[in-house]
Amino acid sequence: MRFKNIFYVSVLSLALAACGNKLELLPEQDLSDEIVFNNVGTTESALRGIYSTAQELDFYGSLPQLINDYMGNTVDFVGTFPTLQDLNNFSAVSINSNVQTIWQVHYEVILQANRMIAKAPGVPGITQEQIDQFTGEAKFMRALAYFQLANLFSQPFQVSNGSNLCVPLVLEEFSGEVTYPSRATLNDVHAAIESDLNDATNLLPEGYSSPEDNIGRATKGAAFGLLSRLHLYRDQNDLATSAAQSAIDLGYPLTSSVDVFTIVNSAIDNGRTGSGGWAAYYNPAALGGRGDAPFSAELLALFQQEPTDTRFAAKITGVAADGLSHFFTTKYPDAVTNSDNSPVLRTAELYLNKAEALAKASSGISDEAVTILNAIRSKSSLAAKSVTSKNELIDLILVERNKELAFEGHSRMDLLRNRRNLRSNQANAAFGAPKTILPIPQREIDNNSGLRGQQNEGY
Amino acid sequence: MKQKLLSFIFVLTCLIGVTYAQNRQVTGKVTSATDGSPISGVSVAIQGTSSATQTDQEGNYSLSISGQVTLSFTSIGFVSQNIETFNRNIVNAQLVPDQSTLDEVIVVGYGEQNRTLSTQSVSTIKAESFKNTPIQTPQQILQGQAAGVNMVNSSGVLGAEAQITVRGGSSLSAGGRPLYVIDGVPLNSAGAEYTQTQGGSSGLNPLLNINSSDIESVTVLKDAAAVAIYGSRGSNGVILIKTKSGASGKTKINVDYFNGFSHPTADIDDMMNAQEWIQFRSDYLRANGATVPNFPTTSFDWLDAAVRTGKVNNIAVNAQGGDEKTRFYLGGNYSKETGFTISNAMDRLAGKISLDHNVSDKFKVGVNYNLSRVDMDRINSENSTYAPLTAAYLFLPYVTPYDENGEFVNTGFIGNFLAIDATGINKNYSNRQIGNAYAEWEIFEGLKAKTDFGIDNYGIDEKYREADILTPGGYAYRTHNTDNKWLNTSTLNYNKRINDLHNVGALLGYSYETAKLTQLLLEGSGFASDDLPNVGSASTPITTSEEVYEWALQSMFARANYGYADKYLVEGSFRRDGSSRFGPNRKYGNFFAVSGGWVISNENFFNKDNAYIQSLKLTASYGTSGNDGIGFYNYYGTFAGGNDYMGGAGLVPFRVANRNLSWEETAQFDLGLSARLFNRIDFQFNFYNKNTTGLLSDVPYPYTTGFPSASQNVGEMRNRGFEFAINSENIKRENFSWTTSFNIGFNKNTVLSLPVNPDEDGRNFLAGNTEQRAIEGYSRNSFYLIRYKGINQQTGEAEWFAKDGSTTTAPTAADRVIVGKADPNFQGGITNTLRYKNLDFSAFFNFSYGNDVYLDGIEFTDNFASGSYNKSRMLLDYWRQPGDNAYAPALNSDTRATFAQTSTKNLFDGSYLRLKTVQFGYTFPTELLSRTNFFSSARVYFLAQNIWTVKAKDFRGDPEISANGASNLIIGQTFFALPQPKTFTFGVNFGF
Repeated sequence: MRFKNIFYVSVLSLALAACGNKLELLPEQDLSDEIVFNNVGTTESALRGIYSTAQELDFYGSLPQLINDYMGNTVDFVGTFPTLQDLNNFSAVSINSNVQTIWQVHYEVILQANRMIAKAPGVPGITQEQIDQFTGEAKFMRALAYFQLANLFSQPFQVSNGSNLCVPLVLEEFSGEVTYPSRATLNDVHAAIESDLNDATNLLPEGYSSPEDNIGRATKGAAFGLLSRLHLYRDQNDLATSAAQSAIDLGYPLTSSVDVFTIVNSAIDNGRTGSGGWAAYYNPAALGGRGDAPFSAELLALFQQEPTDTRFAAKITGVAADGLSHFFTTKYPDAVTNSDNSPVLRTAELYLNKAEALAKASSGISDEAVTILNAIRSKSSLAAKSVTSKNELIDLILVERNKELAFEGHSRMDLLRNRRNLRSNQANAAFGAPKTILPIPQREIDNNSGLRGQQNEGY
Repeated sequence: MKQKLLSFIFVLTCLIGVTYAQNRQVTGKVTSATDGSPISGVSVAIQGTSSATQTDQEGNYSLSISGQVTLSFTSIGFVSQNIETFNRNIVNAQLVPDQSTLDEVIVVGYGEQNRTLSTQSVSTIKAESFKNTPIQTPQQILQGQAAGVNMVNSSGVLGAEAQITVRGGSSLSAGGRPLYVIDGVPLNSAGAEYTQTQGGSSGLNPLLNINSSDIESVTVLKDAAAVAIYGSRGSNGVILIKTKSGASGKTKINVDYFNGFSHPTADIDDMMNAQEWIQFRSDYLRANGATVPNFPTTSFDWLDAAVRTGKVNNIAVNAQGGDEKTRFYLGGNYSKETGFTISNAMDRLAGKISLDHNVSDKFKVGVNYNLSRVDMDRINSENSTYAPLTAAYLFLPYVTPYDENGEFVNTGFIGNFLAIDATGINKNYSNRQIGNAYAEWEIFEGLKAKTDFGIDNYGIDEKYREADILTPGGYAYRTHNTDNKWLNTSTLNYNKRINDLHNVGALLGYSYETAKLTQLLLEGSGFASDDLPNVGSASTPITTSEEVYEWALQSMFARANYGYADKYLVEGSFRRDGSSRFGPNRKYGNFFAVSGGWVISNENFFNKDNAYIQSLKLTASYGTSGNDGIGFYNYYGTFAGGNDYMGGAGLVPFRVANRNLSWEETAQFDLGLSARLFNRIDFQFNFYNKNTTGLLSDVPYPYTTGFPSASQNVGEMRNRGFEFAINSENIKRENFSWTTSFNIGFNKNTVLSLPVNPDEDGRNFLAGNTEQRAIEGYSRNSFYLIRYKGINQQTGEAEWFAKDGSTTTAPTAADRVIVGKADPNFQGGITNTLRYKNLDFSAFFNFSYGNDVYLDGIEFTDNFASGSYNKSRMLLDYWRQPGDNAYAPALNSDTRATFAQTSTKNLFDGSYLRLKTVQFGYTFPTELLSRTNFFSSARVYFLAQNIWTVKAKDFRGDPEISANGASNLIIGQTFFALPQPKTFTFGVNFGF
């Protein structure tokens, strides 16, 4: 009996002893934020993280660009999402969930860039060259984010010379202490963008060792290119011309179709979500897309005036989301693995920026602008145009811009900054109309007392 | 003469009995004297010996005796009876319910208690009340059956997770599921982590693999006295599932088979046909000066193609038996169900073995092992346009699944579900093993030491393949997710009745539990042929991913109770939990409860023989419990990997650090009154007040911080309510009985405080989604919407109320007000069971009152301006001329595009009363069956589910809906969720 008892007791105590203290379990998929900026390798990974966030649908994964394309005049939106339809109808409300995530992801990019700018100089073992490059890339991405936010959430410069409210300007890393910034003016935001891009032109290299990095990561040329767009949007035509020229001088001939800067996507790494993506929105169902964004009647009419335009050949017919047959672009052919790159800045835009700025700056007809116009036309197998007035020249350049940069998210701002209406005969889509810009997300106003009373008109 | 002869025979048999005193088998059946129903678990003992057995589920027993003995039949809740066997081989007994005590054993945490002497508040549902019911998972057992337990089916998709709250939801952002414990093994229930969501907001049901026909009882622990022993996991309520185990005696075999069919209970909406749609659209475009395109002349009835007759087939076989030393239970179940929606099916094969063995008088060992495999044909659900029903409601009615050659076409964003059904694969296979093995040693009388090892190994595989027609080149993914748990629980348990006056009980325990969740995902596209089903044949690998999450919980717990003279009862319990989930500053939590009871009816002054009240007990309890469903490592500030760019590894900020992050704590006060009235009504009343503090909140940050939110323990919420349950034997005669059981739970949920995040009126809130939010001073599921007024009869414009009550045609977010809530004021159920001779009939209704339901789908089907999907026929009633009392605005009104936007227009009263189950049965007479020498029992039955529903007049679809499964902050919303099935089954049950 005694033996038995000893046996039982041992079984029980064995059971108890089998369990050591194992409560210190750490995540296996994440790294502690304390160690990320402790070495150059993980710091560079954090830098790649900025581009990775930029791949997302709501940044350069096509959603803001799609909205710009259909609120503008290059595509019709026939898709199913009510929140996107509301924007298309200029009847959106401030609780629009797409608007909210666009805002969210843009600030994610900005805060990641802020953190990189603050932390890179202190990383043990980092070289000055690396600090410059990392900081330059971060500043470029921050400028891109603010620029896109400004275009979406505030009336263009042309409405009130930039004195209108834009978005909160946050340039410091998040300390852990929540702050409640109010909206800065458009001029202030543009100034911050200009400052970042000027820094970036100094800090960034002209190119990298790998040709893919030359287009997929920020370069000096990309910074000049975006700077030229900023100045163009602010009617600073001379500055726009010189910035475009600085970029062109770095080796971007019009004859090449090379990107200046693009967000590089691949089958295993892209911003496509269940909700959409470049190829998803711009392709018909038969190719695996949603068929949401076929050619608009306006764009079709533009091409049909000169149907030999080689750019017009880049289209297919397919059934759209409305169950009817439409033309679609072939710019984003891969609706299966979504490996199409996100176009941010192409060589052609440098020349279009320069031509438009020259044409506007000149008191008469700018010959140099006409030359560029015809070079662009010739590239698309169109005959040279002779121009009779300054305004005709500007119009012709804008037509080329519209056709060249269609489906890349330029249309809405190209109309608005030229004081044009987004729709004809539709008051709520006129230049300066409240709902041609997006609402500040209600969630942000709810959570940031600094934004109280700062909602855009009409929301 | 006759008498003499009888006496002679009697004397003779006695002599024979004495002379040939050898072992023989005596069998019999124990039934209730009131209604003749069999009583299981009755102890049948030979007086003066230690030989004993128990009756099985059919009330039968078998015992080896020698000679003539006296058998004593004892069962809690019945008056004990002694019967002399004489020389009979069949000794039946009829037990009379013990009116004085109505003692019943209830399952509680880490043990069992006598119901009368327990101070805990629990609800128990026994196998009897859900037998033969075609339920997919055990949670459905709870619907309308347990007071204070609100169970809402999330949708009619097979395997969808239901929403369950016990005494109102106690959490905002942490886990909302109750803790499920099967035979002492707390189940893995990571829910949505196990599967790809496929558009559904809820994951698969965590109890999908649990076979309900092997369940003996389900017990819901409700008050602090009951849940505190589960410490940091008790605050959402604890559901103890006890599976069947062996009973000594002749081996009994039971076979149950049923077969049936199902249909949806309701149409979600009445949609336009092609002709109506084209006419409407053309009129609309013309009215707005737009060009009318040439619409196709084709048409197709998508809804008809999506819905079919569902079928259900189920066979369950079990065997139960053993002797005094070893008892066993074997159960097997195969069920095959096809949903009423195309492509949705579920097969389940489940088995169970339970063995208990007495090594000696003092030492006992046993094992319980449940095995199951579920094989499902899944469909996309809810918020996916690939979901058959969602697609069927959205498809433009002129879009067809086939081209002119009869080949499938790719219909794009709204998926051609006929093509998906014919060409795709969407499988979910899961294997689960839940088991435990124990050894128990009675050190001395009353003191038992027990150690128990448990496992829950859950493996879920998914295989998804889209053919070329849907994704050019084809697409596939494959997941393999496992959640493997083991735990050890060791307890010392002491129970002693001293001098028949003092009841003393004590429990001391230690447990360690750990589980590891592993998720593997392979995804690829580009196949040479549709005939290559496996992702390995894909030319482009899209994703190769492995993620691992591990957690551990170390606990010490204790309970002590004392009862004096069965009148005065006190109990205290304590648990200390250390968890890997908690931040380093708050790694260990202590939880406790104290409770007391007064059995008034056991007082000397109480006359139990009065006609009105036979039993009366008052209980009170107060204590705490926690919720550890706060994620795995959420206290840790991190950068997340896998955010790559151009082939290089990338890191992005993921989480704000919070070393204080820890459990949510719920303190609960409970007052209970239970009574037996008029010798026929059992009555239970409870009042409770539950205060949850340290609510895990994803404190929303301005996005300008770079983070959407940070997890913190802030916020306080109260659930206050009362529960009422009645079981009444209205009529009890030998040939006719009628019983009614009724329960109702009232709950009021109030958010008391939240992190600073004020709305327009200065009340802090936490948004669930656009429609729903938790608001200080109001329910955690308050609907916060613009109020829709209607169509102006003069102008044809849709109108809303501005915040100040004035009318507007252009409302903004600032006009939103609190307009309702998704949680009910009360809910419950009522069951009536009638038995006439061998016929039985029961009807079970459940109900819910005071909850609102927001139908997200109407934002689509009522969308006036869109040409991209179908519309409700209600839109045909649009405003045409002044004076029209129309549903929809004028075709060219300014509000044509805003009419369907989020507002109270899409909010409905979700109250309902539903005839959930009706059952008819016929039990063949025992006399008839005994002649077969084969069957010991036989019953045929017919059962119908969800056949009749009362709902709000204008409600579109099924009101029993909560599409987001176990979500806390979003309940009572649906986006084309499948309605509940209307099921008819016919079955037979045989005992051998």
